[in-house]
Amino acid sequence: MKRKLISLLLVSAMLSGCGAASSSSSTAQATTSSSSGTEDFSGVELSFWTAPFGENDAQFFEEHLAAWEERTGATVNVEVIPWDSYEEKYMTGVASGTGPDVGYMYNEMLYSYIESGAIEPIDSYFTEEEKANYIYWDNGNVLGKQYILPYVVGAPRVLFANMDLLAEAGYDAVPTTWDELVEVSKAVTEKTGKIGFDVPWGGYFGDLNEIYFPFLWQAGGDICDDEGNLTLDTDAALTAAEFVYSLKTDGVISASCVSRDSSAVSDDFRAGEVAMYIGASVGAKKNTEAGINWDYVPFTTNVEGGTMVANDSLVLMSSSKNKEAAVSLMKELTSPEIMQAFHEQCYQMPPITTGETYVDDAKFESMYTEYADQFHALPVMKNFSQIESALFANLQQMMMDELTPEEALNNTMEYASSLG
Amino acid sequence: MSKKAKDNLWGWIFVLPSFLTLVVFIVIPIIRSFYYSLTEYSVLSSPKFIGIQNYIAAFQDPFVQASLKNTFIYVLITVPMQTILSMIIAAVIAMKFQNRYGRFVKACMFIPVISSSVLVGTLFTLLFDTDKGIVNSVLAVFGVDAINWLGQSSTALVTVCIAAIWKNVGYFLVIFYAGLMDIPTSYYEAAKVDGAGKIRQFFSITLPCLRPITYLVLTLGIIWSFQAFDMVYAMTQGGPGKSTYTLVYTIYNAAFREYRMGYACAVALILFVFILVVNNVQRLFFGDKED
Repeated sequence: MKRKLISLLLVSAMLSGCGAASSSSSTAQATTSSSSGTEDFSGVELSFWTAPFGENDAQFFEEHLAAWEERTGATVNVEVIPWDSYEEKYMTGVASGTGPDVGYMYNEMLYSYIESGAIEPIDSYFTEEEKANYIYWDNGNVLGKQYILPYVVGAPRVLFANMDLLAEAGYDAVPTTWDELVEVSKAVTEKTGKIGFDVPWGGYFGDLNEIYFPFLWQAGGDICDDEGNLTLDTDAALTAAEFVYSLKTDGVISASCVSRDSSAVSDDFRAGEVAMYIGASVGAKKNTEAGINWDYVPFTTNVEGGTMVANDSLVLMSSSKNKEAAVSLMKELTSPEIMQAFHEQCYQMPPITTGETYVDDAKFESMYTEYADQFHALPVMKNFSQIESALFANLQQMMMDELTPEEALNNTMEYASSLG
Repeated sequence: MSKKAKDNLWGWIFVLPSFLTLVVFIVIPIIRSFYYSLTEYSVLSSPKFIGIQNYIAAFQDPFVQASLKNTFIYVLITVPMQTILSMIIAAVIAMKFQNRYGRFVKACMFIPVISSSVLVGTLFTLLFDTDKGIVNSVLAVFGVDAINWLGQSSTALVTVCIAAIWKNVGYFLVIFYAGLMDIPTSYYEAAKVDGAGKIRQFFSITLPCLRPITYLVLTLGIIWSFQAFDMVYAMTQGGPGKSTYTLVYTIYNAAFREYRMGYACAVALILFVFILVVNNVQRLFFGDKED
């Protein structure tokens, strides 16, 4: 309920954000200059850790932070850490006292850092005017405090479709319900010999964002309740698991789905071998570059609509010796100028501040305003990574006919309760 | 200072660098790991003493149970296979190809050893791909239906083992080859005079003479196999289900993905004890003759 409320706030915020986009350059200018006016951090050295979003993030940030460095006298060391070792490097860095002043984090990482006091609340460092400039400011209120500054918000997991393959099968629109999805997939396979719809069950637990959680929300369920209790023992969770399982037993998705990861599926989509897949909207650029005539729907609907959206953030580390300077860096990193360039050059996403212009794919612009209340971020809760691992392993076993959907969910619930 | 005391002092001075290295990099970490294994410790905050709860939780954890089983299967498949294969190939090269062709084969066999595990894992993932893999294409020629090698519990671990064996054989081959070169040719000449054939020579001369080398290869093979991680990480991420979870992969997950360093230390010490026990059983089996 709380997240839905936030989502509703999101819609209004997004509406104002997109509506103001064309006439807000003066606001952007004001934000930047107000934060730059009296700041003097001469001699201060800050470090900023991020994961790679573009082809050369380090160079991007060094270039775009040069003006701020000159203005404030501070220097910023940007460290871009590969995705597969990001958490490992972050944890060892923080533990050994060599962590960053400002860092990028995704929701799954947050709980342990917040619980241990490694992340500093940022509310008091921002004026009301500054807060109002952030479209998703309220998303940063996690575990009761404003611990995070929403930074990479968007990339909903949408259903992409190859419209040429669908046309060959006699369809001119992307399916919008579970039944239609099954019907169109079967028709594509029958009439074109290609895979109608594919789901990667051979990757890792992070793929649940595409292969299970969207169906869970579409079935009317959720990962946890308002108190943070896991809710995978609900009818909705079971309905979603049964639907996912039926996709395999009914021959809708490829029989080898348990050995295929998300890259294999998206690559096959771009090669014209797969007609539909669920993936992050940022994949649209590659789909276009591959020459695919694609279209999408944000999600298919069962009881309701719903899909997963990223809500990644910048955090201020408690160990930072120069918190004022670090917060100023956070403000600069999320300034409309840098964010717009970031979204243009590194990672296509919707604006996060009111001062930005929308630069993501034009096809997605209406989605962010029309369906924002059906976009769900992953919860910030204790043991979530372990629960995700267990859920993924159990659902994989279900896909291999080793467990029933009910057993897969019950095993996960039991495991979660054993963690305490 | 007496001569004996002087000698003792010099002895200590010579031993000190190695001793300090051992203490700092091995003894202290083991002691600290043991301490952390008795605590709830996320690395991000101070450890909290909880007694043996991590050990109790580990033996009840379905992931650790699966890891134990998988690790033993992995050891049972990879160690004998890589030992036998490397010994046979080394013997064939030593007997038939002590020339440039033999050297070429040895060099080729060593390439997987120096290749990155991620690279080897990716290569084998492609080779064993269900729909486009070469292995299934070859099997199809013989009328065998496509096998979902990495997508079913019964074959995923075996596939990982095959990749590991391919990667390790070259290393052990070189060790065996060096051992074979040390066997005096007079033994074979004498056996030939006595009428022993090639097979008899292999079992009565080569194998016994290679006993210390075999012990070394087995010991290294067992330790490496108990520490299996990289291939699993590159090829399956522990899946499908829990079918390729190994102990070290579970330790890695607990420590770096789940922030449970205390728990990870407990599982690591369980692994340490297993390796110690297996190694000592092996010593009993081989006796002291390996020396």
